Order: sequence, then structure tokens, then C-alpha cells
Amino acid sequence: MTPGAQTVKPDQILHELSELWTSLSEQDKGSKHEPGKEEDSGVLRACAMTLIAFVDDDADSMALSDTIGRIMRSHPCRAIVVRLRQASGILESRVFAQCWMPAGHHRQICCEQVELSVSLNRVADIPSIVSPLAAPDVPRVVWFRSYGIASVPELGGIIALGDKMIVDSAHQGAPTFADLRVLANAGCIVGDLAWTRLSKLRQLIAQLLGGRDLSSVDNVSIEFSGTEAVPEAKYLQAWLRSEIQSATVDLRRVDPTGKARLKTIRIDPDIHIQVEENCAEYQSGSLRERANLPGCSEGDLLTEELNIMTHDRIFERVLQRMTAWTPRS
Amino acid sequence: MSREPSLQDPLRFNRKTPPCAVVIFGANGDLTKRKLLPALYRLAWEGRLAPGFAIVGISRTAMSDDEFREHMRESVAKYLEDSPFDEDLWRSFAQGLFYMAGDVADANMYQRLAACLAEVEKTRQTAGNTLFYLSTQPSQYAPIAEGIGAANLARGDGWRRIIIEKPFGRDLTSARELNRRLQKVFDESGIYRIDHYLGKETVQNILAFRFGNGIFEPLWNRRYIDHVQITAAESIGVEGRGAYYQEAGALRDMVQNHLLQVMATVAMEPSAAFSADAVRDERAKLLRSIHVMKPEEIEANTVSGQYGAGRVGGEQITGFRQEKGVNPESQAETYVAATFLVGNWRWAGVPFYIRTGKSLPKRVTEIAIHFRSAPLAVFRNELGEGNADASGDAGAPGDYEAVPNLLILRIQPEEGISLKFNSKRPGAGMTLRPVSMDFNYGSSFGERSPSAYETLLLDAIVGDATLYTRQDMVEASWSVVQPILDYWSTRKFAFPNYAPGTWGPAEADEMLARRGHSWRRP
Repeated sequence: MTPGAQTVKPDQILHELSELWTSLSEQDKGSKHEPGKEEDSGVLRACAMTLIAFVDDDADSMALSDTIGRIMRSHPCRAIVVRLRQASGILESRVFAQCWMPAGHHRQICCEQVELSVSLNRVADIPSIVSPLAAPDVPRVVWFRSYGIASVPELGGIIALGDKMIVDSAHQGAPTFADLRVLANAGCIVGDLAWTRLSKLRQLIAQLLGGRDLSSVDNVSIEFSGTEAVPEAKYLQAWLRSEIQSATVDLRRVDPTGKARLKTIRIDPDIHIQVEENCAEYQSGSLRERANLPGCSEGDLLTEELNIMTHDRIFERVLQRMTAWTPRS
Repeated sequence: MSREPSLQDPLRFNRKTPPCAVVIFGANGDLTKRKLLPALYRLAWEGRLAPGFAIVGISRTAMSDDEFREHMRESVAKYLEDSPFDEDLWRSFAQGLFYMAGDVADANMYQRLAACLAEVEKTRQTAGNTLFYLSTQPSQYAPIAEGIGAANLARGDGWRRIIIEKPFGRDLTSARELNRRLQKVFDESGIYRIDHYLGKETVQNILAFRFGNGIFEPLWNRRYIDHVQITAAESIGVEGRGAYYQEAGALRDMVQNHLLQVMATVAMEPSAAFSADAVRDERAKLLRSIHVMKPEEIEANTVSGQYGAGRVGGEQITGFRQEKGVNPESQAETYVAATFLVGNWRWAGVPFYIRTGKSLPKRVTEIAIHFRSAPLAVFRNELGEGNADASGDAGAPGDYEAVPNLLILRIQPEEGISLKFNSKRPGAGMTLRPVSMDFNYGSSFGERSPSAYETLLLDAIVGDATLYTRQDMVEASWSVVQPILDYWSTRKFAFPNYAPGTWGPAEADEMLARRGHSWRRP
């Protein structure tokens, strides 16, 4: 770590990363002599992409660590976490490894992490630091977990760092649908965790309508609670409008004082889905069942987005349909 | 161009599964409890099954639907691996579970099944799609299929498929007879012969490794590969399955199906497409290319073994012949090693050594591809072989023993791929030592892999037979094994011939030594 330094040298960080792996390897050699340890244990280094995460200074470190740990299981990567600080003049770095021992295995897997602390007034320095730190020959993904990042003037240079950009429009201060649409129209691969959050529910709807003539569906009603529709409700409306063009798809507020969330989907004539946390109760004709809707943690959602490194045409089509919206009460 | 509305999202959704009913014959058996129901529940947990999915269990034991549901709940909670058990989801899943007590030899039972399926189709909206799973004694496969046919259950609204477990016959003749009787009721495209080895993630990964990368396939032939070793070792003995094993033996139990299928996956030609018939055509072609041994070749190219009593790690191990239900004079083999040759341009002259056995030192299944040595070895190896002088200077080219490259495809227990190559030892001088570059499937990707039964059941429901064996594949592999079985049946082996906890009989080492090779110690 280089405390209080006003400059950060990428070469120095890369050297520290190299030393980190040497030290992990030495620790492992030492542990091999312990009785009962398997001979062929060792540290496995894996890197399938570079993840560049922008987070706010007050971001919960434990939650962030959980999220990155979850991602690493399916997308082992070099994670560069850029922590945006309010105080001016700060530019610091540190490197560390995230290691874990998968259940049933005797070889731990380690992924490297670089943390940069950067004042908002030094954001312009970020691309020149991050670009050489990215692992070669693998995709780069920029994830905006910071609420304030959308407003910084140097955003263009930061977006250009990645092959894909991921936001969560459910967070205040995140880029707007219009921003995302502009980026998508410019050829940028974009992802929105608010859209990702809908995948399991959309799949359930597709299953329930599977085999039916979609042109016979006249009306779909999406009900939500809270003062304003959550982005998920708006995305669902846009998707259904895009896919079932014969139907009227309404958004309805049913509980203005309740927690802002998606509550119910009614598809004429006989499908009714009640959305709960991590599951849905549904009725389709005489069938009344429960479906699991797992995978809604931030790490699960990011994992799904990182699986898709091409243009997601369905999402981009939905994004084009996202418009200003006024609720019906 | 206008787009057809579909609601499907292939980038994000699981494969679309049709609604269906799975009818399990042998619903009170171990396979159903330990594998099938946990796999189906897990698929439901992941939302991979269509709404209204139903299971109809059949066995002789009298039980109500609710009793069956309770039995299955206990089994799923007990045997579900790497997954949470969710009581609320189970209650919903269990609504689709039904049970019928009945004797599979009773024609009336199939009429009752027809009525039950009609009711299930109405209440669960299964569209008539039905998958019959025969988790019974192999001797019941043909009679059950014929019962299904006689009750007109093999035809009707929706699709009808049947899954059977190995063994597919006891020999080539009985395999052909079984196929003939099954095909009188079901089209070959509706018969799914399950070989759970092919459902393993790492066996599928062999195809990805070979045909998804450009750098390996040019080396994948007789010019660069010296020989291949396929090992499937179990550290345990027959563990109470002595009576079954005495009838089957390792050649029928492992080689005829699993290991020849694995060999076919390693050695097959690339298919033009990743479709069921294209992949299976190539596997079948490879199986048909395996040289069928003449009696005079069998003695030199096969080894049969049986473990005796002994001690392993301080524990007394019961010999095979002392196991319950086993004839004290049994000639059944618990170990097989064989050398197979493939008669095609790619593999001519490359031996494929296969071995499998019980009570070996460790549980491991792997494929080791031994590459040819570098044509000229100019460096000294770690053992100091060659005539380099004290300063480490290299001697004349060709003086040193090069360590050949080795590619290991590990199937279990730690699925992965290792490449062994030579690297300079740090320090002065030019001395090489072999190092290993590892890819560990389970830990490089910490994600849970689906069990083989999850993969295979889902494939059968969506109608993808790529990982199932076909009639011609079964018969081709029996054609390879049958002459060995016939020859062995004329011999009396001096069993037991290996101690538990060892790598099998000495003859297996001699078999490889005759070709200048030795078994890898996994």
C-alpha cells in the first residue's frame, strides 16, 4: 500500500501483484509439509476477465466482498475496485488476493484484487491507471455500483475501458434509461441488473404462456406497490409490449404506501402470478403452484450478466421501448 | 422482416421444457430415492421444469399418494446434494407426485396406468407427453415395454419416450433381442439408453476441449500420440453387491458400456454438428472401428483379476469370494485390463489401454494421453540421465532421456485437465524437469455442476438424445467385448490374483511392458 501518495504507478501495482502470487505460492509450499495435507495441493490462479467496479466510499465492504466472491466462482477474474472518495486529492492503491477452498477440494483458488481509492476530482486519472492493469486477452467489464458516477464529466473515458458496462437502474443516481439507450445505440454492450432481476420471472411467464397463441392475449396488468413503479415493473411492461403486441399492458399502483416492488401480474384470461421474495405463487387454469425464483443476490445477478458478453438484442429492444410513464391508480 | 413473438430469451432462459409426466417403474427402489427424485426436485428448484410437471411412481408396495410423497420427501431431503431443501417448494412439487401399486407382469396394471395418465393429463396439463423410466431389474425391461405397448400407452397425444438403465443385455445376442422387443413398441428415436458416465460434466467437457479449441485436434492422432490409458479405479470392494457382481463382472459392468463410451468420446472424429445423431454417428463409427480380438490375441491383450482378502490401512478387507452371496469358487472378475486398437487412419497402431477394478488403491477415473517424445532430446533431465559433464553442459544431442508430454483428462474425483511439460529448472545449467499446468473444473469454476441424472433427465424431457447410447452403439460395444467373454468362459483363472489396495495383477503391468509402456499411477 502507498498511503497518502498522490500518484499511483501501474507498473508498481503489477509488481505487487506478482509478489502477491509468489508469497501465496510460498505459503502453500510451507503448508504442504503439514501432516495430513495432500501432496498435490496448491494454489490455482485463474483469470477469465477483468472486472472494473466503481463503488462509493461508504459502500459496505463486506457486501461488496461477498458479491465479488460470488462472481469469482463462475467468472474468475482480476477485480479492480475503484472506491470514489469525496475528499479531494486522494489517489491510493493496494493489492490483495481473495482465496477460498471449494467444498470437497484440497486446492484453494485465488483471484487477485486491486483496490484504488480515488477522489472525485481525480477521476480523470482513472483510465490511464486502470487500462494497463487490466489482464490481457480477456474481456473487460465496467460495473457502476456507485450512485454518483453517472454525473462525472469524464464518464466517456471510463466507459471506454470496458467491453461491457453494467449498471443497476434500481439505484438512485444510476444512469437513466435514456443514458443506457444512447450507449446501446452507440454500439456499447450494456446490462442493467434491474432487467437481470426479471429473468426468472420472465421465464416463468414464458413457460405459462408456452404453447398458447399469444395473439389471443388481450390484456396484461402489472401491479406494483410504492409511490413509483420500480424499474423492474417498467422493464416488464416494455418486454411484454414488445413480445405480445396484440395486448394492452398496463402498470397499476395498488399499494402506494407499501414498499416499492413488483406485486402481481395478471394475464387474461386465467393467469395470475403473485410475486414474493425469491418465489412466485401462480395460478394457471386449474393449476395452482409455487415457483422458485432463485438467484437474486447482487452476485447472482452480476454472474448472469457476465455470462453474456455479446449484444443482448432482446434487452436492447426493450430499452428502446422504455418511455416516460404515468401510473394508473 | 417481422419477428415471430415467442417470449423466449435464449441468452438468459434455461432450455424450454415441455410439460410432461414421468412414469417411474421401480419407484420404491434405491435409484429412484437416491438419484431420480433428488435430480427432478433440483430441476424444479431451478425452475427448469414446466408448470404442471408430474411424476407417477409404480412399484409393488401398497402405498397411497400421500405416503409416496412422504417417502420421497424423506429421500430428497436426505440425498439432495449441494442444494437447499425448501419445504414450501416441496409442497408445490409434491402436488404433482402420484403413486400406483402394481405388478409389472399384470396386464390390468397398464390399463389402470392409462386411466391414471389420462387424469394426470387433465389436471396437470401435461399435453399427453410421457416419459417412462424403467428403474427395475433388467429382465423386466422388455415385458414392461410390451405392457406399455399393449395398453396403447406408447402412442397417443404428445410424445412418448422410454429410458432404460444399463446393462443393455448380458451379451450381444440378448442385447439384440432386447432392442428388437423395445423397437416393436417404441421407435428407436424414443428409446433412451442411459449411460450416466456420458452425463458427467467432464465427459462432456472432453468434446468441448477437443472440438472447441484449435490447438489440440492437429495433435490428436497417431503421429503425436504414443498411447492412451483409461483408468476407472474404485477403492472399495463390491460392498454388498456381490451377488450382482458375480453375475456381471467388471467387463460387463464397466468396460462394455462406460469405458468404451469414454474411449469413443476421446477418439471419435469431429461431428459436423452438435446434434444427437451427428455426435452418435461418430461415436458409433469409432466403436465399430475397434479391432475385435481373435481368441489367440485375447491372451496377450487382456487381463482378468479378482481381489482376495487383505489389509488396507490397518483395516481387514474381505476377499471377493468371501462376500455374501458370492460362490467361494467364483470366476467373476473384479478387475479388467485390456489393450484395444482402433482400425482407422487416425489411430492405427496406437494402443488404448483400459483398466478398471474394485479394491484398488484409490478412487479415480481419468484418461491419460501419452504423447510421443521430442524427436531429439538435447537437454539433461532432472534425473541427470545422459552424459552431461559436471558443469551441466549438454552432451551430444540425443544422449538424454526426454520426459514425454502427458495430457490428463480427470473425470473424478477432481474433474479437470492437466498438461505435463518440461521446463528449465531454476538456476545455473540447463536441466529440465516436468511441471504440471492444471485446470481444475470444480475450483476454476466454483459453480455447482449439475448431477449426471439432472443433465440426462432434462435431455430426455426436451428430446435431446446426444448423451444417450443408441442401438448400434450398444451392439458395436458388445461386439468388441463378446469374444473376450467367450474366451474367458473357457478358462479357469487362478483367482484371487491381486491384493486389495494394489493396482491389480502383475500381468496387467506385463501387458503394457510388452509394448514398452507402463501404467501411470494416478
